Amino acid sequence: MKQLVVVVALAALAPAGALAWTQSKSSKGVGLKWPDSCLKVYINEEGSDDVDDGSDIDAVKASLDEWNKVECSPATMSFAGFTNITKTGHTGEEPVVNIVIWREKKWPYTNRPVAYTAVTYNPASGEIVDADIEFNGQDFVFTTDPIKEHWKIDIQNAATHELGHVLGLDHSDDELSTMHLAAGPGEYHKRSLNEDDIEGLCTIYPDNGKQCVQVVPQDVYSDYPDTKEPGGCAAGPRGAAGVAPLLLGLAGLLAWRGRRSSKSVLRWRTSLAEGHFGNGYGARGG
Amino acid sequence: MVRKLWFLGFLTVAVLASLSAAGAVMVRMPLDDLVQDSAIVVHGKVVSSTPFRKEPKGNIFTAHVVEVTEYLRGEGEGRVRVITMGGEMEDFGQIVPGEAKLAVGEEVVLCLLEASEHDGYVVTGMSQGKFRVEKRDAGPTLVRDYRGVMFIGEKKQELSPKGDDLSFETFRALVRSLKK
Repeated sequence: MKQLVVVVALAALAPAGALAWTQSKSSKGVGLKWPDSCLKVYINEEGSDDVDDGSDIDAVKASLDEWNKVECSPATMSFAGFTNITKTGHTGEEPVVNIVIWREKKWPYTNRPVAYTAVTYNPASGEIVDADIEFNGQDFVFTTDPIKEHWKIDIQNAATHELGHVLGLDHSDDELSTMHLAAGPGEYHKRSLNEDDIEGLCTIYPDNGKQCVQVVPQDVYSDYPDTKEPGGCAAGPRGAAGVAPLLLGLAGLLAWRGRRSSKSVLRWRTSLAEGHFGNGYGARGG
Repeated sequence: MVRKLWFLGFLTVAVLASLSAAGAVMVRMPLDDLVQDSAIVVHGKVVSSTPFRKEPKGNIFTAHVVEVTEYLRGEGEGRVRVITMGGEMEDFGQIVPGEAKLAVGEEVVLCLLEASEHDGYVVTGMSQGKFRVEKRDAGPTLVRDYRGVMFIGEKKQELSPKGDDLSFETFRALVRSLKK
């Protein structure tokens, strides 16, 4: 029996791999990181079509919390509210909205992975300015119960991995880390960070004594209806944003608020007046 | 005592092996799928890379021109246009972990799909479909950089053992065997 204990102890001590985390880099080799380690993340109001009990949203929140609870780093990704924004990327003109979205139809890319994360940054400084996660709900089926539905993609598993990319982490050679490069349907061990992930986070965002202010979720709603599908062509001119789109937006807002019982809604009136959100932003129905 | 030590050693190896296997489960496109799913497979050199946006406020892409020395699958012109997601403009850069990274001057073998959203091709399976050609003593070798690939495959995913580098000739033979 003693021998068995020794063997198990030896096995437990054996490293699954050396610390192997990597940081995403610009073309000039500058490491990517957020200048402010207090981030806000919005979730598209539609969530996943495969989960109808709200646990899809809870799974994303749990993924945020998994990174937030690392004690040696001040980096915090707060759930900032729901949004109807569908467009990913950032140009510097609009307010920064980091979104998590499921695309259930018309996946806009030729390749069809489970998820894409696009991280936008300043090439000179390496400072990240925006990051968005797109889940491919058209080709993959998602779940929040990977034990029962092991053939589906566990949302929390995938979201925890993708949120690592949002923070500027690239993939790790450590096969047991959340940031390891591969996962299959039903896998859920990436829900929990391992020492390699934690080492990466705390190296990129070392403890500086800073604590992030608690974020009260405030939903962000763009008043413009969709004028285009993701990756498709514009279906209407931006200048068409008159009374009708506003009414449509209002109707969508009411229906949407009814579904999510959101606490408050931030409407970008300034942006509306300046017409910044004519393409790609807007209601997807409530 | 000796038998006990042998047993102990065997048990240790077995436990370690099982831990390693548990963490090594990977999902990826087998080579034959990668080839068969591709419209063309080319061997060539990247001669230019130009970042662009499809629309003023859109995501960033990079258009690479690859001078083709050989079509391993399919046929076409002497140059192909390959689009990858991400790139660096003057104002912003964008990175999509998992996308194939092509560098000017690089000798590559590329499995390519006709792009639905662009004029040109995209790399099949993101970085899975890009092989860097390395000159080695044993002959030209194809090397893949898997950093960034995750969750690749469709709903019916297959598991295959890890094994990356392969000789160019082996790959060429595989492609030939899969020709229609």
